[in-house]
Amino acid sequence: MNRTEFMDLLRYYFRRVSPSELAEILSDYEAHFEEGKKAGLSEEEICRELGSPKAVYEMYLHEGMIHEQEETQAPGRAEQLAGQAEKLAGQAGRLAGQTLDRAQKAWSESGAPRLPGVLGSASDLLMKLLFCACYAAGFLLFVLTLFAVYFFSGILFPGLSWITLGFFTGFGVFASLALLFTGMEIRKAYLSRRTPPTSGTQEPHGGEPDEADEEEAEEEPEAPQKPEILPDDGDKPAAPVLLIPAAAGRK
Amino acid sequence: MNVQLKKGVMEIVVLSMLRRKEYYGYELVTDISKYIEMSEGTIYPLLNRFRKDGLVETYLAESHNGPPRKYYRITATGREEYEESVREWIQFTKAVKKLLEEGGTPNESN
Repeated sequence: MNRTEFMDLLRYYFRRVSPSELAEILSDYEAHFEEGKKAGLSEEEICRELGSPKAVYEMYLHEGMIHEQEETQAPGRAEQLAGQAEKLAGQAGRLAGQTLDRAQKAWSESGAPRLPGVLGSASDLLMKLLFCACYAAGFLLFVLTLFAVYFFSGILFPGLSWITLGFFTGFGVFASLALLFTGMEIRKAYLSRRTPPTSGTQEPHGGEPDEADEEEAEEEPEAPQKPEILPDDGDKPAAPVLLIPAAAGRK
Repeated sequence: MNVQLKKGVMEIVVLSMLRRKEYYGYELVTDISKYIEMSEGTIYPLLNRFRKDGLVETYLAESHNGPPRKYYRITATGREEYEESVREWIQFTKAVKKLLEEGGTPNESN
């Protein structure tokens, strides 16, 4: 066992302890590792001397030194948020954005680093909703502008000046492009969240949406949902690299 | 040596060491493990409990290399607690010794 493993195990055993208590407990062992390193011991030797993280946890319990919170609290909130997010799915990106803010707040308040699974999937879902909404809105605005220009100029107001038309078209096109680009940025962030930073093979996915058009926007919702699908549009060797961290993340 | 037995003894050992000198965590832990084989990690919960109960207090002091160290210093309450524990310990070991000599080895007692 090395230092990281030891500390991670401690974090696991003390997962129901409040973040401030946890930080205090962990600091003793961080300091111990530092001193041991200065004394010329390897991380493995220090771990052996320290004994098992479980024994540490049991000793804290035995001494009546830790106050555990109910484990259900934080995940319950996350599930609520995820449920809310699903209800909001039909509504505009503004509402989804607010919920995302709340999810992030809950994330930081509940000492969230210990609960990456549930809260992570909630924010994943929200990000996915956001970029889908942006793509859809951008595409819709683009089509609407074209339609409107066609009707205004040809049928409704045959005498409309070309300057007015030009402004109108310009506005519509640029607004829809802005929406599309926003969607791409969110999608990029979403993919980088799901992809462990270590695997370089995933880089192409981030740059891919450059050619995003309406067809891709419609296909997108399913693609990032299951990690198994992602390797299909990458090259073959990427598959195991992606799958292993994804599976580990779920645990 | 039995783990449960050690847990009880450790309390008195830690207080006894702090009575003579102010230690930082790593120093205290490694000093004890020179004499008694144990999981070093389990000393910290004990120290934290002592601090909560007011038997020891902590302060930070600069170290010549690296970040400041957390030192433990015994309080007056801690000294009283130590005296009390030592009295109990001596009484207890006397009783155990007596039992082992008189009742523990029936073949030799006759």
